[in-house]
Amino acid sequence: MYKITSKKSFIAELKLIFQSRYLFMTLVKRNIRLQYKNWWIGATWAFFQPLVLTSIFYIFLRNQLGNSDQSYFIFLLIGFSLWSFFAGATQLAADSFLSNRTIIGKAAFPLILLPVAAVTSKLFDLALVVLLLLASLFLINTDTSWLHFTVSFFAAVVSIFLFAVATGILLGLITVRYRDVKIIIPFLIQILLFLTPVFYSPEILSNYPLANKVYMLNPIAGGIDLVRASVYESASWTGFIGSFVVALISLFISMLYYKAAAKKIPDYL
Amino acid sequence: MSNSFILQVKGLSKYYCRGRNQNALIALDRVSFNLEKGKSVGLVGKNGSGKSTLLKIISGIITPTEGEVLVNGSIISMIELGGGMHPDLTGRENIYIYGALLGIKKSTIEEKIDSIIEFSELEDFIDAPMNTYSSGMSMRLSFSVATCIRPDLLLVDEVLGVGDQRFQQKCLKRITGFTEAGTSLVMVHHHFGLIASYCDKGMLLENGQLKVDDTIRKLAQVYLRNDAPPKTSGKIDVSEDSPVVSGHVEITKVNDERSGSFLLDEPIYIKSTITLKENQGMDIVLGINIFNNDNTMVFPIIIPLKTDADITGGTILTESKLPGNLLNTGSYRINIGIYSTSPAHIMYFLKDDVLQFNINEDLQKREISYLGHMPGIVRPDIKTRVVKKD
Repeated sequence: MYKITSKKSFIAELKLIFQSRYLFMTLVKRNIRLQYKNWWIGATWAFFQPLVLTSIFYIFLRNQLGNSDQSYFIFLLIGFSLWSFFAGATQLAADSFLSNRTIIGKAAFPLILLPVAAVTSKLFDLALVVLLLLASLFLINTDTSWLHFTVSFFAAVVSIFLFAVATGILLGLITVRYRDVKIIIPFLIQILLFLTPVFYSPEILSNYPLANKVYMLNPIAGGIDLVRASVYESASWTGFIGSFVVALISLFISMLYYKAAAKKIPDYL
Repeated sequence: MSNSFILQVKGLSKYYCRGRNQNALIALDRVSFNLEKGKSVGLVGKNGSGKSTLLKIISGIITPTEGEVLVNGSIISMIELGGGMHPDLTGRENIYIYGALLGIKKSTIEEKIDSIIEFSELEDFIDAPMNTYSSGMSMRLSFSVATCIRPDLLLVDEVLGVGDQRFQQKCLKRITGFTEAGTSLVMVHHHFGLIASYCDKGMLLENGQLKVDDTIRKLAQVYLRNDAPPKTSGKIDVSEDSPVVSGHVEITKVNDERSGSFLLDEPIYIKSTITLKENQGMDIVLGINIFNNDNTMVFPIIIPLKTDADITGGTILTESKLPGNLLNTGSYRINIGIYSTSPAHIMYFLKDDVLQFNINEDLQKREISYLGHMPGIVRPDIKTRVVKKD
């Protein structure tokens, strides 16, 4: 027996989400299948994007932005692999309501599954890139503590995952309501790339301690920094925890907005 | 007692806000009804009357503005079949996705996958991407997935036009199997005959309001009425070179009362008053052409307009009687033409929809239990005598 009213209780919604885990897995699989329809093109692309960006920056900006203590190549590869995951996932999630409009109008399911499935399916790309990263670490032969690296990388991915879900949901909900926003999302993501220490070191701001602290609250910055530190030294988790809290807060805000706006999504599609 | 209902709808309203300064569009306005377990209801109404909105709320796709829906059992909704399939994936992959979307369990789909493919008759194409499918083929596949298990409540939205005639029969047979096993249907269809044969009661929605919630026979009486706005009189426009000075046509009943609504057995009178110029030996003809709803010309009435010696001009009154039991029920439109047939064929006036009328049937007089629309263009009162009976 189920009941439909104008208001949905949060508990009921959570229960429904839990009951829809098979649908969730199906959606994730579908996203991966769609990207890897021609598996070698999809796989190449997943490698290609961070690798090309890393190579270009390495070739042209090694002397300007590189840090003599660390391999700038590894530095860039960590930055761009996590960044590509965030950018790809956010974009796919932000588009997930609109691109799935045909199924939204035909079946009842918790719509939040769409952006979360979009972000989750991008983990598959990230896994491929991690292979590249591990190979590079072996070749360059750093004396990294593997345990430390694994734990840091996992923590960073969790934090960036949550942040991508949060921004994806927010942008997705706004796009459903105001379609024009879709055009500026790539631009917003590009701006964020420049505001995140992906290809330069956050030490640029080391003369301004307060600004640096605020700057490192960005969950992507916190995640990248943690992984980089774990390769060369024991990472300090304090900076990361701050950014992780930001990720959680943004997720909470996006949930509040989702709860208010979700029931109107089918009306606008 | 609430357990004897499969579906309870209480005070359901849905408003769509359109922009800031516009009034909300009322899609559903305080709709309430109950459906008993195992019974089926047919839902009719014009486009935009709220039928699809109601189905989408019951199936949980859209959220109502007010009111509540209680569903006491499992539910499957077949709304806009075939649209949710992803064109880049194969038929088989889409079966899993569509099944998951409908809330069918993974184990059920895995167990039923062969019978789904078999029912859809797409064995040879099932591993080809859906963009190679025709729309009929993807609808067949969706129908097969949606009906792979028997739900307690099945929502059917105009979907029985799946595939060819033979496949439609197959779908209907499957649905009949469900209803016989105790499934309730909420069925939206424009084919009234289908609703009459599947449903125990009928509902009519009009501008979001529930106008009728009664037996199929009552619904038929309201819904099958043809009430296109009748036009009972019209003017014939004149021009410089036209032989007509003025003209006027109208439809009346036998008692001279102007009317646009007739019963099957009532005669229809089409009257014209035409004033002709003094003309130079031309044969002027008035054409009254009767068209039905399908835009088929049922027949023309051709009236020669003869004045005294064809010279002096003057006013002519004509009256054409269409006997009762001639035209089938429906809406009719009349176009009027005035032309000369000799010495040259010249069209002076031709206008569509000058007059409109409707023919309705008193369903109480029907001798058979079928209450849908009778097919056919004409509806003569054929007398049949039973000659022999064993």
